[in-house]
Amino acid sequence: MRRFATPMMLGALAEAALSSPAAAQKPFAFLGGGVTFPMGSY
Amino acid sequence: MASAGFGVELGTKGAWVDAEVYYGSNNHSDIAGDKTRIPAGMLALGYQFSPGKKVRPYVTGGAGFLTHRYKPVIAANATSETKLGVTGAAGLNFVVGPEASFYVEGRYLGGKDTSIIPIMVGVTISFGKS
Repeated sequence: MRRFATPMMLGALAEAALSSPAAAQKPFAFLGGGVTFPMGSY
Repeated sequence: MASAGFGVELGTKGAWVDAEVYYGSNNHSDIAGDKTRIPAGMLALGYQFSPGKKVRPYVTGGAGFLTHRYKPVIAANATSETKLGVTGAAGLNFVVGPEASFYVEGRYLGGKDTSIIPIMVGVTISFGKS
Protein backbone atom coordinates (compact mmCIF):
# COMPACT_ATOMS: atom_id res chain seq x y z
CA MET A 1 0.00 0.00 0.00
CA ARG A 2 2.80 2.36 0.87
CA ARG A 3 4.26 2.26 -2.64
CA PHE A 4 0.96 3.67 -3.92
CA ALA A 5 0.71 6.48 -1.38
CA THR A 6 2.89 9.01 -3.20
CA PRO A 7 1.44 8.43 -6.71
CA MET A 8 -2.08 8.65 -5.26
CA MET A 9 -1.21 11.92 -3.51
CA LEU A 10 0.34 13.39 -6.65
CA GLY A 11 -2.67 12.28 -8.68
CA ALA A 12 -5.06 13.93 -6.26
CA LEU A 13 -3.07 17.16 -6.39
CA ALA A 14 -2.97 17.19 -10.17
CA GLU A 15 -6.68 16.45 -10.43
CA ALA A 16 -7.53 19.18 -7.95
CA ALA A 17 -5.44 21.73 -9.84
CA LEU A 18 -6.70 20.75 -13.29
CA SER A 19 -10.36 20.46 -12.38
CA SER A 20 -10.65 24.08 -11.19
CA PRO A 21 -11.42 26.79 -13.73
CA ALA A 22 -8.31 28.77 -14.62
CA ALA A 23 -10.02 31.99 -13.57
CA ALA A 24 -10.46 30.58 -10.05
CA GLN A 25 -6.83 29.58 -9.64
CA LYS A 26 -5.39 32.53 -7.77
CA PRO A 27 -1.66 32.03 -7.15
CA PHE A 28 0.09 32.82 -3.90
CA ALA A 29 3.50 32.53 -2.30
CA PHE A 30 4.50 32.22 1.33
CA LEU A 31 7.58 32.51 3.48
CA GLY A 32 7.89 31.50 7.10
CA GLY A 33 10.08 30.46 9.96
CA GLY A 34 9.89 29.15 13.46
CA VAL A 35 11.12 26.85 16.14
CA THR A 36 11.34 23.07 15.82
CA PHE A 37 10.72 20.45 18.44
CA PRO A 38 12.23 17.03 17.68
CA MET A 39 10.10 14.00 18.48
CA GLY A 40 11.42 10.59 19.36
CA SER A 41 14.28 9.36 17.19
CA TYR A 42 15.23 12.65 15.60
CA MET B 1 13.22 25.96 10.54
CA ALA B 2 12.47 28.07 7.48
CA SER B 3 9.86 27.41 4.85
CA ALA B 4 8.77 28.81 1.51
CA GLY B 5 6.25 27.79 -1.07
CA PHE B 6 4.09 28.58 -4.02
CA GLY B 7 0.54 27.52 -4.68
CA VAL B 8 -2.83 28.27 -6.16
CA GLU B 9 -6.23 28.72 -4.57
CA LEU B 10 -8.75 26.33 -6.10
CA GLY B 11 -11.90 28.37 -6.51
CA THR B 12 -13.36 30.53 -3.78
CA LYS B 13 -14.39 27.89 -1.25
CA GLY B 14 -11.08 27.79 0.60
CA ALA B 15 -9.18 24.91 -0.98
CA TRP B 16 -5.65 25.20 -2.29
CA VAL B 17 -2.75 23.17 -3.62
CA ASP B 18 0.88 24.12 -3.11
CA ALA B 19 4.52 23.11 -3.30
CA GLU B 20 6.54 23.68 -0.11
CA VAL B 21 10.20 23.53 0.84
CA TYR B 22 11.61 23.35 4.37
CA TYR B 23 15.05 23.65 5.87
CA GLY B 24 15.83 23.10 9.52
CA SER B 25 19.01 22.74 11.55
CA ASN B 26 19.12 21.57 15.15
CA ASN B 27 22.12 21.42 17.48
CA HIS B 28 22.40 18.23 19.51
CA SER B 29 22.30 18.82 23.25
CA ASP B 30 24.30 15.71 24.15
CA ILE B 31 27.38 16.31 21.96
CA ALA B 32 28.45 19.90 21.40
CA GLY B 33 28.92 20.65 17.73
CA ASP B 34 26.78 17.85 16.37
CA LYS B 35 23.92 18.97 14.17
CA THR B 36 21.02 17.47 12.29
CA ARG B 37 19.81 19.26 9.20
CA ILE B 38 16.53 18.52 7.50
CA PRO B 39 15.75 19.83 4.04
CA ALA B 40 12.39 18.72 2.68
CA GLY B 41 10.05 19.33 -0.23
CA MET B 42 6.33 18.58 -0.21
CA LEU B 43 3.24 18.83 -2.36
CA ALA B 44 0.17 19.57 -0.29
CA LEU B 45 -3.54 20.12 -0.33
CA GLY B 46 -5.14 22.56 2.09
CA TYR B 47 -8.47 23.89 3.13
CA GLN B 48 -9.17 27.23 4.74
CA PHE B 49 -12.35 27.65 6.76
CA SER B 50 -14.40 30.82 7.08
CA PRO B 51 -13.59 32.34 3.68
CA GLY B 52 -14.21 36.06 3.75
CA LYS B 53 -13.43 36.41 7.46
CA LYS B 54 -10.37 38.20 8.87
CA VAL B 55 -9.24 35.15 10.84
CA ARG B 56 -9.38 31.86 8.96
CA PRO B 57 -8.51 28.49 10.47
CA TYR B 58 -6.92 26.04 8.06
CA VAL B 59 -5.68 22.51 7.74
CA THR B 60 -3.25 21.11 5.22
CA GLY B 61 -1.44 17.89 4.49
CA GLY B 62 0.90 16.50 1.89
CA ALA B 63 3.75 14.23 0.95
CA GLY B 64 7.14 14.47 -0.68
CA PHE B 65 10.77 13.92 0.23
CA LEU B 66 12.67 14.53 3.42
CA THR B 67 16.45 14.35 3.86
CA HIS B 68 17.99 13.64 7.26
CA ARG B 69 21.60 14.92 7.38
CA TYR B 70 23.61 14.16 10.47
CA LYS B 71 26.64 16.45 10.73
CA PRO B 72 28.80 15.39 13.67
CA VAL B 73 32.00 17.05 14.83
CA ILE B 74 33.84 14.04 13.42
CA ALA B 75 33.06 14.59 9.74
CA ALA B 76 33.82 10.98 8.80
CA ASN B 77 30.73 9.89 10.74
CA ALA B 78 28.37 12.13 8.80
CA THR B 79 25.31 10.47 7.29
CA SER B 80 22.59 11.56 4.91
CA GLU B 81 19.40 9.74 4.04
CA THR B 82 16.59 10.90 1.77
CA LYS B 83 13.22 9.25 2.23
CA LEU B 84 9.49 9.63 1.74
CA GLY B 85 8.20 12.44 3.91
CA VAL B 86 4.78 13.54 5.02
CA THR B 87 3.51 16.74 6.54
CA GLY B 88 0.35 18.05 8.11
CA ALA B 89 -0.53 21.30 9.80
CA ALA B 90 -3.31 23.25 11.42
CA GLY B 91 -3.17 26.98 11.85
CA LEU B 92 -4.76 30.38 11.72
CA ASN B 93 -4.53 32.81 8.84
CA PHE B 94 -4.84 36.52 9.73
CA VAL B 95 -5.88 38.58 6.72
CA VAL B 96 -4.26 42.02 6.74
CA GLY B 97 -5.14 43.20 3.25
CA PRO B 98 -6.58 42.11 -0.08
CA GLU B 99 -3.34 40.39 -1.05
CA ALA B 100 -1.54 39.70 2.22
CA SER B 101 -2.00 37.64 5.34
CA PHE B 102 0.02 36.30 8.24
CA TYR B 103 -0.20 32.79 9.58
CA VAL B 104 0.72 30.86 12.69
CA GLU B 105 0.60 27.09 12.67
CA GLY B 106 1.58 23.88 14.35
CA ARG B 107 3.01 21.39 11.89
CA TYR B 108 4.18 17.81 11.74
CA LEU B 109 7.02 16.95 9.39
CA GLY B 110 8.39 13.47 9.31
CA GLY B 111 9.50 10.33 7.60
CA LYS B 112 10.99 7.01 8.59
CA ASP B 113 12.87 7.54 11.89
CA THR B 114 12.48 11.33 11.68
CA SER B 115 9.71 13.33 13.28
CA ILE B 116 9.67 17.02 14.10
CA ILE B 117 7.06 19.53 15.18
CA PRO B 118 7.79 23.01 13.80
CA ILE B 119 5.79 25.93 15.17
CA MET B 120 5.79 28.39 12.30
CA VAL B 121 4.81 31.97 11.58
CA GLY B 122 4.92 33.56 8.16
CA VAL B 123 3.43 35.76 5.52
CA THR B 124 1.37 34.86 2.46
CA ILE B 125 1.13 37.10 -0.59
CA SER B 126 -1.52 36.55 -3.26
CA PHE B 127 -1.13 37.50 -6.90
CA GLY B 128 -3.64 38.29 -9.58
CA LYS B 129 -7.38 38.69 -9.38
CA SER B 130 -9.79 36.43 -7.56
